[in-house]
Amino acid sequence: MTPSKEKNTRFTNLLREHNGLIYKVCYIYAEDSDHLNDLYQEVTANLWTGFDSFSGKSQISTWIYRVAINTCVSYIRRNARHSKSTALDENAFSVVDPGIERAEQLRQMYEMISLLGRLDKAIIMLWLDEYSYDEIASLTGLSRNNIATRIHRIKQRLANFETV
Amino acid sequence: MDHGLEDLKKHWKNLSSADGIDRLGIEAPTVSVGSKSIGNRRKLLRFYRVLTVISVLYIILAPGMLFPMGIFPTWALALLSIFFAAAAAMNIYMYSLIKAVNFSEMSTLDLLERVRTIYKVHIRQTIAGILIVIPILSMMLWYFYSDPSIFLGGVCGALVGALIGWRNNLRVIRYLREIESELASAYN
Repeated sequence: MTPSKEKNTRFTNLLREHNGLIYKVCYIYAEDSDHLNDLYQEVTANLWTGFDSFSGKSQISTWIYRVAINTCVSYIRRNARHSKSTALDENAFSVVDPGIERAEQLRQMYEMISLLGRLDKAIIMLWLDEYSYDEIASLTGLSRNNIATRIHRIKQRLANFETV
Repeated sequence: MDHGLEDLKKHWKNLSSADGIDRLGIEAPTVSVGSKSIGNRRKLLRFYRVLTVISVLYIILAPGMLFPMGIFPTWALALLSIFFAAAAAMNIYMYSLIKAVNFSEMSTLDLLERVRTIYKVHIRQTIAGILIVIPILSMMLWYFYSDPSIFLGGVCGALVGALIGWRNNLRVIRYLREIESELASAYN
């Protein structure tokens, strides 16, 4: 197998394995399905570009998170029409995991997340995936204290849906 | 931690799994193509966006700026505006065709057909562009024949423009060919 074919195969496998991760990040930043596809293709292109430079020092999922978040944030910044946070479509997240009685509550939480600022979206996504404050700080370039404060505020807002 | 937040965490983490896309209630994207195609699609979109902006800017600004100079006759400015309007329309059409290429939703065969169509449209547009611009340039050069400085400037401008245009044409062909070849190898 030639090096370029081998790289293609490795990359395709990586995408297959981590498609969910890439898509869910894009989903949080997307306004509609067209925008979602644009973001997905943009993230994939950037992952391909940086694929050779991935050193393996961090986990592959962390690297994908970093590229996906940076790509989505820059893409939205570049495209002025997407600069405002917009609530996702009402049926954007079909919540099928937990009990039926919690589905509506989760949908509202996702809707609230979709209304957060670009950076807060990144922070809450990483926190939900159990990244430590230090890791989130390193990924976002903010201080640990700033991260802690932001997460506390977002959690408070999300906790309001407990009573819904 | 609150039950709601626990559920949210659990749900969010599950989205990363192999069937995570299904949990979002959307169709799983097919990843059948290397990212060179995705990168080329992006470059082509940027290219046609820039060309459209240039064409529209010419139509808006150039007549107003060139007419008062009194060098160019009205008919030449009108013809050039028509040429750039046609160019803008063709660029917008190409942009929409490329924008419709969706590597994460379309099948490889559909993508192949779409890219081949875009290639044919590009060739036809190139021929149409040449057929439109040659008579306009000829008429203008004929008109300025008696004024050597303007005539020479026009010839040099036409040559430089033709070189840039041809280089861009080859670039578009290369991008499309690369996408086509990547798709073809994914299909076979």
